[in-house]
This record gives sequence, structure tokens and C-alpha cells, in this order.
Amino acid sequence: MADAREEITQLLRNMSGGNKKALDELLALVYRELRAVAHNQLRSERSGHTLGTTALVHEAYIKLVDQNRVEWKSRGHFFAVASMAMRRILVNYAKERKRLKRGGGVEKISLDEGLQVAVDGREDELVALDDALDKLGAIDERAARVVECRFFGGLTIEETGEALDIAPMTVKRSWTFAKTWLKRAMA
Amino acid sequence: MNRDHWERIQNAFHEALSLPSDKRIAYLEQTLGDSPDLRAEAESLLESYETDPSFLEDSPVKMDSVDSTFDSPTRTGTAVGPWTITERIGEGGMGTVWRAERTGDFDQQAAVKIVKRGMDSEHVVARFRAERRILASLDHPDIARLYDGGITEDGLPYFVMEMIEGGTPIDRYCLDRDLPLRDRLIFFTRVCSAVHYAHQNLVVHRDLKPSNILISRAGDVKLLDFGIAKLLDTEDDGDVSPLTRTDMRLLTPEYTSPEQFRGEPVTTAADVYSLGLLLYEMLTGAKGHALTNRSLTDMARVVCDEDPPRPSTRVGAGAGDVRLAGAVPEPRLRGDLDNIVMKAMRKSPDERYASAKALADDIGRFLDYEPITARPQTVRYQFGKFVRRHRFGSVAAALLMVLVIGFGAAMAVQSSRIARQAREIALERDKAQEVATFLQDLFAVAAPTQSRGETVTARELLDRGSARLETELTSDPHLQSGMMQVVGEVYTNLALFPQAESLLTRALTIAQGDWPGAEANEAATLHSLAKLRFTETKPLEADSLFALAVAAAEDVWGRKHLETARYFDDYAKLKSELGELDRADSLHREALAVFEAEYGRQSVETADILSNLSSNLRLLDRLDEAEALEREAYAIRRQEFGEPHTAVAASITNLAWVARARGEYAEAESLARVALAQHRILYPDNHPNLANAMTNLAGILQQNQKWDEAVSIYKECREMVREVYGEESAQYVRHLNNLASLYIRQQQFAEADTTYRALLPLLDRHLGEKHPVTTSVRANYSQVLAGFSDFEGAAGILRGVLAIEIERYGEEHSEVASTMSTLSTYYMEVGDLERALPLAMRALEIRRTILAEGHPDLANSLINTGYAYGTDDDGEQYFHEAVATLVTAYGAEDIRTVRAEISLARYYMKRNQWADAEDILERGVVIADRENTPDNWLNQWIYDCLAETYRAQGNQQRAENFATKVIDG
Repeated sequence: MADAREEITQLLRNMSGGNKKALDELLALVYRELRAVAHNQLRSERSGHTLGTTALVHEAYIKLVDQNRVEWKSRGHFFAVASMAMRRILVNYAKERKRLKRGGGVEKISLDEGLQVAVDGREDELVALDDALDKLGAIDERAARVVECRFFGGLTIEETGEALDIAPMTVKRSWTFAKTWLKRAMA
Repeated sequence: MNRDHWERIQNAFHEALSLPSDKRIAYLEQTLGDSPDLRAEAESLLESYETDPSFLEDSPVKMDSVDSTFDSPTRTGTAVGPWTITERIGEGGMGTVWRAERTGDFDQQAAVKIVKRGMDSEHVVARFRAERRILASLDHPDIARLYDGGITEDGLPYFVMEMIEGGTPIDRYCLDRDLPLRDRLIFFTRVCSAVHYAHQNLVVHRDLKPSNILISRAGDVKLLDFGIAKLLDTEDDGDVSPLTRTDMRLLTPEYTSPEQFRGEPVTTAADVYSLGLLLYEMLTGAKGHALTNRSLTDMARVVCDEDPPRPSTRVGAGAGDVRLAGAVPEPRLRGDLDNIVMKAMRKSPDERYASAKALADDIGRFLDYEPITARPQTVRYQFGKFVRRHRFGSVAAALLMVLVIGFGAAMAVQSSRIARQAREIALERDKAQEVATFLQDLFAVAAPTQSRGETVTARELLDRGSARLETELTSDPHLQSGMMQVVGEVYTNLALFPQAESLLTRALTIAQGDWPGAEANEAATLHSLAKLRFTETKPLEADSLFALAVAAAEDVWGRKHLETARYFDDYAKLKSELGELDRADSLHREALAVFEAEYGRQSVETADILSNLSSNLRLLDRLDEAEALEREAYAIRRQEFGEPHTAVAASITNLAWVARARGEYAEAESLARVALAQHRILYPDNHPNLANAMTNLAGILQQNQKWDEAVSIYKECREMVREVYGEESAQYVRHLNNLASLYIRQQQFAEADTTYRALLPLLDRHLGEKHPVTTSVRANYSQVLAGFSDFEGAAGILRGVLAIEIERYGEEHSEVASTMSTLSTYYMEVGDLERALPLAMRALEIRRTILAEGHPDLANSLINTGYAYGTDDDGEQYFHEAVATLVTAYGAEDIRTVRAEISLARYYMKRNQWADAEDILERGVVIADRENTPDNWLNQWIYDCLAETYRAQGNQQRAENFATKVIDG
């Protein structure tokens, strides 16, 4: 969808104040982009060359980021939001998968293969983390964001710093502490 | 835990970690000794840290560095066509460049540019094939040759080009060496000559910029990537459309001409403009336009409206005393060179140099100290610029629509249409500047600088915009009412009904004025109003508005026009909703014919009509046709959009409905689950479309006896809909009805009654008595009365329903049959077999005509008919057929089969065939006890029958056994 970039830019503007709706839409958008990448990938498939999960997600990121490269101010923001979006995508998948497993039936749910692999075997962990992260966010919102960026966004310390506009050192501290806290909360 | 404590613990934790592990506990004691709680917390966390430091380090999303690794797998040693890649040279905006040698021939070196993922490969390759002859024919010493192109094994387009050894971008070359002005200008004229040569061969570069112009080690000029930009451009040639970010990704905004921004046809003048910018940079070391950190709107404004500072002022004292390294001194630039550069960069192509050669010639004159042709800007030029400034309305209009599209996936369907309307409005008229100003200002608010950190939602933008529509476009009623209509539709789609209504009503008043072209706007506005009413579920009002809109459209555009066809299709959807199914069918088909002629059968536009037509056919019980059409629509949509997608999900939902109508409930359930899964991904949490998908699934779950899941889904939906639409809405009515009917199915009449009491008063207010929802709610309510044994009252309600349904569908319809069947049972309950039997038989007859053989719905009619015979011998065969049907459909052990068998037992009991009844009941009770809890109504019924049966046979003890199991009331 050619207008996706404009959407993102707009959404980013809207979310600067934490607009939930804008976030929801971004989630949908990132998801769509992911699907589009996967789709194109399948179409241009030759001789069994498969793009793994990571690459898939990665590429969607790059695509989304690259399309925004002119909007440098928003770039960091973009990472932050995208990480949040990824959190939802992955957790929703995990929940969906858990539900299917419980149901036991042979459902014709066409989960995106890439995400399926990312989530595979980690459903419980992801869902538990999601809950614990909510609790953490109530105490220390920034720490929760850091975890989102690091874990669900796959960002490095530096990228997380850029995304949240805080120093890498702060990210590192927050990350270490939040992780420890979460580990105990999830134990 | 409060924030202070959290910080304290965190600090102590980190401090402790920095100490050797044996000192940590002591440290905590020292710092947090005053507060045992905090100390305990910190210790516990420290312990937790030490157990597994790798926790959470394994992210499911792995990304080492987002920016640099997009093509990270090295390609060194791999083959690209007849070329073998030897090393990576660099990265560009569109991909990675590799050094390569012809396989088996080390001497022949080339640069291979592999286009990055995300570009439309097929399109690029097709373009390349079309253009390769021309591109290959460019034979100029200063233009890098294009040898070859194709697609790599992993599906990426590539181009093979002449290898330029040790090339340096021309601007760096000039600035780093602090090249004398004359040398710079000579290099520049060589560039102009090469560009001119290409222009004479009908190739426009489109993306001229310093990094595409290299000076080789030997001191030769080499222009790269001639014609590549066009190959990668996703827009077709000559397509007039404003620049979107797709294009921006390929082009470099700093060097993009105003006409490219405006989406106007790109000619050689665009390259002249880029040459002007190139010269600017070669002379000053600064870019003509500083565009980093700007939004697309902003960039468009800068490029289209603002002249960069004249080169001399850029390097002069005014620029802050610091001469940019390598820049030409200010006095050399002032005057002629300023004028030459500015002339090359004029906003209007007509005012630039007529060709690259003319530009080079003027440079030549300057070098020869002759008078140049470029003149400073006149007042007239300035004024002209002011007028032109407003010409990129189309950009702004498209941007507004893009903004709006961001508002919910439901909008996606509408978006292209709205964008097109906006563009038509903007382009059709020669007065686009007013729209431009309006929308630009609208957008200016969104820029971070202006909103000062406040959140400005798109909703606010719309509100501000629509307020301004009232005051600022008064000079042009066409534009004013047109914009109001478009924005009104946007409001409708955002479910902001009062705003939509006030805007559309205003638009209508304006469109009913006396000015040329008013009729078209009137038709469009009526249509938008009708859709508003439809969306609000006020079908009666929508009906009369649609009638007006359709009539107006026929007057304005004629009957076979695409626009009119759209109105027909929307109108048909309403008619279908109103139960006027034949009328809906013919309207859909009329729309279909026009769409097919216009877009072809295999198009997403036509797919929409096919799907709508199919839904209506399903209501008409023409299931085979319905399924075939929906499958067709599904295939088209899936191919076009992929999954999940709103349109694809809609098709799956429709297919689930068809399966449900066929009685293939397992298939229906699995389809509905797929559809719901997609909806959950596509829509935010309380979106009405999501609620619909949930309702669909819940309905099918009921069929499949999955009560608990169905109830919980219905309740979730009810809350969702209450939140979005409020209680005074038809949507809410619908969802209450769903919940209530489920209570009935579970024989929970008290709950059902409460729900209906909330529901019934809402019905007449919103839907009118003939609306299908009204009738179905009344039909359901009659079951509640029946549940309370008020069969007379129940029959009275249902008679009214039946009359309306027959009027709506004719007799041969499943709904009618179902109503007749139910009504007959009420008559039986009051012992009025004379009225019960004909109704039951007629219902059965209808079902036999419209249902496939073996359809489980037949069973109900068969049982009713059997009952209606009372104790007559003729009744028995119907029960047997019913049981046989259900055994085939669900199996002998299914509770629904048992229910039918108990009916047969009841028949035997009435005929005093006690032994026959006993056999059946004893078998049934085993299954019922296994499947249900004893308090289930069916179990209770069976116990009651068994008690009666044994009592009649004198077996008091067994009778008593069962009688004690019956719960009173």
C-alpha cells in the first residue's frame, strides 16, 4: 500500500501524546507491512530460498523505517511504537496459539508462518511476560518501554536509547533492573 | 511500591552489582538498613538476578543493527546472470552496489547494483525490458554504460553498469580540492553536455545528484544511473499524481523538482532543475534546500514555493561569517552566477533554461565574460510564484485523505475512492488553490513545531477543517459542498454521526443552490446522507434518501455510469437489509454489469459487487449461486490483497454464512473462526466489525451446542457495541437480541425475559415493525412467553410476524417455514390441532422444497408435523423420518437426536404405547445423563416422561425413582 508511509508519519505525530487509537492503527499497519513483505517474499520465491522469521520481521522494520528516513525526528519514535506493536502482535499470536492448542481441534487458522516460528514454544513465556510487563509499567513506565524495545522490538541498547530518547547508560540500568524484576514476577 | 522506593531499590541494586559478590549483602544492609522492607526487596532482586542473567536476552525479534544489515548476507562469490560478484562497493538509496567480473573473464569488471527488497520486482524488470534498448544505446564517454539487468535468484532486480574506478562525487571533488571556479564550471558544462546528449536520445535522468556524478581517477566525468529512476518509479509514465513517499524513497528530495513533487509529467526540465541544484552545491558547498527533518508536506512546500537563498548570500557574510570549506568566495558568485543558478532552479519548468545545453551555453558566456541570458527575478516573476504556490492542491488533498485513512482499517476500503474524489475535486477545478490553502493550513497544525507538544488528533484536524469549510470556501459552492460531502463521508466512516450529519446537511443546502454543476454535488451528497443513515442503521430514512440519490444520479450521469452503479449497489445493500430481496438482486445485478464493463470481472471492484450479490442470494436461499459468487470474490481479493485483509475476512465470513445456511455447521464454525482470527488482527479492540465477526462465530457455536463460549462472546460483544454505539442504537438492539435468543435456546426464560424487556421498546423507535430484526426479535420473544406457558400470547405475536415475513419473502422461504413451524407448536400446546396441523405440514412442505435432502432443519418440521397429528396413526412416520435425518446429520448418540427420539416417545405415550416409549426413554436417559447435568431441561423432561411411563405400567418404584429426580418448577 503506497500510502503506508504517510500513515506512519501521521500516526507518529498523533501518538506523541500517547494516542491509543493511533497506536492501534500503527499496530495494524506494522502487521500489514509484515504480511506484505511475507507475501512478496512468497511471490518472488525461487528455488526454495526461504526467508526466516527474523529476516522477515527485520525487513518489515527496515522497510517501514526506510520509508520514513526523511522524518528523522520521528525515527526514534517509530522504533518505540513499532516495538509496542510487535509486543501486541507476538502476544496476540501467542494467545491465539494457546487458545487453539486448548481447543485441540484442527483449525484452519492461517497464522503467518514467520510469526509462528518466532512465537513457537514460547507462548506461555510471552503471555506471562505481557502480564508482568503491565504491572511493571504501572510502577515504572519507562522501564516497561525499555523492555518492549529490547525484547519485543529486538533493538540494541543504543537503538533503545534513541527510540526512547534516553542515554544508553540509562537504558542499560533500566534494562538490567527491569529484567530482574520481571524474572521474579514471572517466577 | 511508590516511585521513590523503586528508585532507591534500583540504585542500591546497581551499586551492589558493581561490587564483588561477597560484599553485596553488606552493602545493601548499609544503604537500606533503615528500611527492612526495601532491603529485603533489594536482596530478593539481587538473588533473582544472580540465578539467570540471560533471562529475556533471547528476543524473538532479532536485529543486530537495523540500518546497516538489510542486505547483510554477503553475495561475494555468487553469480548474478553472467557476472560473479567479487566485493561490496557501497550502499545507495535503492540498494547495494557490488563489484563484479564477467564469469570466466577477469578483465571485464562491472558494478552490479542490486535493488533492495520492497520494490516491486516484476514491475522493475518489466520496465527494464521495455527501456533496455534505449538505455543500452546511450553511448557517451561521460555516461556510465548500462550493460545488463535482470532479477537475482532471490528475486531482487539488478542492473549491471560500467565500473568507474576510484570515482569521487563531483561536489566532494570540487570542495575537497578547493578547485578554482573556472575548473568547477568546466566540469559542470561537461555534465550538462552529457545530460543534453541523453535528452536528445529521449532519456531523462530524473535523479541527478552529486552522488550520481563521479569524477574518475583519470579526471573524467561519469554520470551514473541514467534512466534507472524511471525504471524504479512505480507510477506509470504521464500519470498525473502527487508524489507519495514511495517515490520519495527512490528520489532524493533535495534534488527533486517541483513538478515531480506536484506529480506533473517529468520532462528534461526536471534534469535542468537538478543541474541548477548541482551547480549550487558545487559552488557553495551547501544544499539548495535543507530538507532533513521535514515532513513530506513541508518538503513539498519548500521545494514548490521557496527559493533557496542566492548562492552568493549563502557563502557571504550573511551566512554567518563562516565560509563553508571549499566554497567559492562570495564576490565571484554575486550577480551572473547567482542569476544562472536561480534561473536553472525556477519553480516553473517554462522559466528555466530550455535545455541543459542552454544552461551550459550561459556558463560558457560567463566564462568568456559575455552577457548572460539569465535575468534577476522580476516583480512579475515574484507574483507569478505567489499564484503558483497554490497549485499543488492535489498533493495536499491526497495527504488529507491519507491522514484520514489512518483512521481504522474499515477506512481502507473507502480510502481510494475518497482520495480519488478529493483529487477529482482538486484537479477538475481550476481553483485548487483554495483547497490547497485550506488543507495546507489544516496540516500545518499537525507539524510538531506548531502544535507545541500538544497531541493533535486527526479527529481534531477534521473538526477544525470542517469548521473552516463553512467560512472559507464560500466563493465556490462547488468546491465547498464537494469538500463538505467528502469530509462528511469521512466522519460517517469514523462513526462520528452528528458531525457527519451537520456537514452533509449543510452540503446539501449548498448543492441545492443555483449554480452550474450543482446537480452532481446534490446527487453525491444525497448518496452520502443515505449511507450515513444506513450506517447509523436508520434504514427507513436511508431508503427514501437512496431513492432520491439514485434518481439524481441517473439524471446527472445516466443509468450505465459507474457512479450511478455504485449508488445502485449501495441501495441494493439497504434493500437487502430491508428484506426486499428481489429488488436488491436486480439492483446488484445492474451495478455488476456496469462494473464488469468498466473494471473487468477479475478486479477487486467487481469482487465487492459479487460479494454483495452473493449475500443477498444467500438470503434468497439460492445457496449454490451464493457460494459460487463468494468464492469468486474471495479468490480475487485474496490474490490482490493477501491475508489477513478486511475484504478477504469478509468473504470468509460470508462463506461461513453460506455453510451455516446449508446446515454444514462444522465447516461454518471453522470458517467463522478463521474470519474472527483475521478480524482480531485487523481491528482495534472495540471496533464494530470485530463485534460482528464475534457474533457470527457465536451464532454458529450455538448451532454446535457450544453454549458457554457463545454466551461469553455475546456478552463481550454487547459491551463493545454499547461502548461504541450507545444503548439507543440498532446495533445494540441486535446484540441484545442475540444474547436473549441464546438464553431461550438454553431455556433460561427469566434471563431472556429481562433482556427482551430492555430490548422491545428500542425496536419500534429505531427499526419499525417490518424490519427483519424487529420481526426476528418478536419471534424470539414469543418463545419467552411460551416458556412461561402463555401460548395464546406467543401465538398472537407470531401470527403478526408470519404475515410480515410472507409479505417480505413470499411463502417459500426458510424464515417463513421456521415461523410457521414454531407457530404450529403454540397451537398444539393449547390443543388447537386444527390450526396446528396445516401449518406444520405447510412448513414441512416448504422446507422439503428449499432444503437439501437430509438437512437437519427438516427434523423440526417433521417432528412438529408428527405432533400435530395428535394420536393419529399418520403421525408416526414423521417422527421416524426426523430421527433418521438427525442420525445421519449428527449420529445416533447426539443429544439433538435424543431430543427427537423423546418426541417420538411422547407420541407413543399419548397413544398408550408404554412399552415402546419406555425403550426409547431408557436409551435416551443414558445419553442425556452422560452429556448433560441432571438439571438440564431435556434430562428433566426425560425423567418426567419415564416417571409417567412407569407409573402407567404400574411400576411404582421405578416411577418414584425418576419422579424424585424432577425438580419442581
